[in-house]
Amino acid sequence: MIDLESNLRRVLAEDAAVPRTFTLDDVRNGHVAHVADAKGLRGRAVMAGLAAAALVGVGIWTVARQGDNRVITDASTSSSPTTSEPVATSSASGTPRARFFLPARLPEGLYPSMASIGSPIEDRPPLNGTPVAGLRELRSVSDRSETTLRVVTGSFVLDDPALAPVTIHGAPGRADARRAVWTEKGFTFALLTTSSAEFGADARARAEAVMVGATLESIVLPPDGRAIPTASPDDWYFSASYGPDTAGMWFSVSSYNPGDGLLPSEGAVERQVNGHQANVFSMADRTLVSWEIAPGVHAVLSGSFDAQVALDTAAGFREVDDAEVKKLFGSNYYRNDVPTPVPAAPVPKALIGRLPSDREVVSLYEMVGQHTIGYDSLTHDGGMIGGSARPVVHFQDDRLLVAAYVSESDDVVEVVANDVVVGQISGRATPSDTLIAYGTVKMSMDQWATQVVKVRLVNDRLGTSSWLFDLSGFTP
Amino acid sequence: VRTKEPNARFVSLVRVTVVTRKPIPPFVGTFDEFFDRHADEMVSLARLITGSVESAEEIAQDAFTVVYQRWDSVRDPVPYLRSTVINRSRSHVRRVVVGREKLRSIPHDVQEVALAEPDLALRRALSTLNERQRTAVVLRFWADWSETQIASELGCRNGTVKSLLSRSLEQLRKAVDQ
Repeated sequence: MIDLESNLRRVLAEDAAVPRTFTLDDVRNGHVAHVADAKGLRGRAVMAGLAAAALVGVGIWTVARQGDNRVITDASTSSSPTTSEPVATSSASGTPRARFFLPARLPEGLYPSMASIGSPIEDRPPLNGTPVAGLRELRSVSDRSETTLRVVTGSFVLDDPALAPVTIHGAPGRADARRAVWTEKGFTFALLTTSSAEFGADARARAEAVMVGATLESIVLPPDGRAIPTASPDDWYFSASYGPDTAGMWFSVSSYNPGDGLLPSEGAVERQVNGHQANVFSMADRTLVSWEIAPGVHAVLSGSFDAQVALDTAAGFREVDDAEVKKLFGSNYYRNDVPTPVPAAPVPKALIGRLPSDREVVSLYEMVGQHTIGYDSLTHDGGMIGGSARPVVHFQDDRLLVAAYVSESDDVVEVVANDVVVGQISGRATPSDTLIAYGTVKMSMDQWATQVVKVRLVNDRLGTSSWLFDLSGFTP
Repeated sequence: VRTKEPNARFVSLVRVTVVTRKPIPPFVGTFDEFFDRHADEMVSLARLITGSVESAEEIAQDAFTVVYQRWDSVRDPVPYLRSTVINRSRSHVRRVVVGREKLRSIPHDVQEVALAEPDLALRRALSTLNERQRTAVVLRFWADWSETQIASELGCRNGTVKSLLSRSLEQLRKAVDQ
């Protein structure tokens, strides 16, 4: 008993030694991260199939950044999610946009706070003691019930550069912010996250899909209408995702730029989407299509979805019918009048290496589960950019996926099997100027099972090398 | 703190310690001082109960926000803050359990990962405790609360806490020994 108790005290003391990142100002500005309760969601959500663990929902991230002197109007009109009417549109003059429609079949009640869209933040505590006239909340949705869901969406604009970045719930580094994407230079961001971290690593892939939807295209105009400083086009984000449900929906849009590209697998082809150059990637079980929605800005669609899509054209938004979508996006697109099984989001067969500190292993385990939701978390913008600095590995489909933040642009992550380098992954910049090395190394199950696989970070220029993972002993 | 020794004849057999705690005076100071003094502790407390660093931060921050909003009306913010953190952490754990149970019903192919980490078994065992057990264990073995204090926090009797801790330790021991 003594050993157990002493070990218990030691372990608790170790685990208690966690860094605190929020500050007194964050507490004082706690209202910035206002989360509105969604009355009655729980019951409806349960009725809608959550109790049956149906992965129903729609999640959308939107991060938008204003350009030079653009007149950007407040977004956000909403309508019943049970219709095919647009739930969010923007009318940015001269700014190409895509517009998305929520599927008509989503159960009623899963959009509890649509009405809150566009509600301004009023009577909020000032940031850092300074009144913030330009702080506006577009929406805030949350299920704080006892269901498995906790969804928070919000978008804010700060018209004072000195106030950005501001810490909010859901901001990168926070529990439900792993999926958040934002632009530090910009002053508008929106996010939708879930508390998928609560579900345990083994369920993250499915938790990923348990997202309740909101809207897309949160474009904000500061109340005074003055111009907002411009960042480079690379900072322009456009991100959204629909999660699959048992009825077979999958729809995803994410930010894209060449430096933060997807994992282009073999045979990427090019197509045209409404006159825009489109790149089509085959990846895992879906096809990803990216196209330019503004100069230097790409949106990405993944195939296998059940949502109406409208694309911008010179004449404005235009809804794309099924035939055209099929033509544009390829055969992977299908529309489900009759629910069609769709491969669930990949469940990670998490393979986790040791971190230098044993104490970190558990949290790594949690983190890995959160970030290795198939490829999407890593290849889309949410996972790594807003996530932890810790490296991740993930083995699936005869590929070992590795992702790690690196500090030098010429850092290389090497996968070593039986002391032979079998793959190298270079670091590359993300839109937030973070350097990430991520990619996959082809590796057969036999190879994996019979060889000692390790992952290391090397920099030939600096002559440095450090092991990130020793994966020996782990079986997929 | 006063320690009372029992009859010397029994000292070798049993040592009885009666602890009486002086009432802790209400916190006096500014919210800034209050935050500085207790923020880290609250994150740690929430982290130990929830098992999640990120959630702990959120819970602690939310709790401080609640206290901040009621700063002028709360007579003694420290116990109020602690109770808020504990209650929210327990709620969090309950939600996690609900989520896991629901997700468990989904057929999926997940393989356990064998981690060669010495304390992993104990940490995993801790995570199997229910929120009530876990809270009691954390308050007892990390915060060094007395059984009386824990009983007060959990709204139960001392004997219940004693039993709760005993069962928890037994559960941990079994899990670690496996």
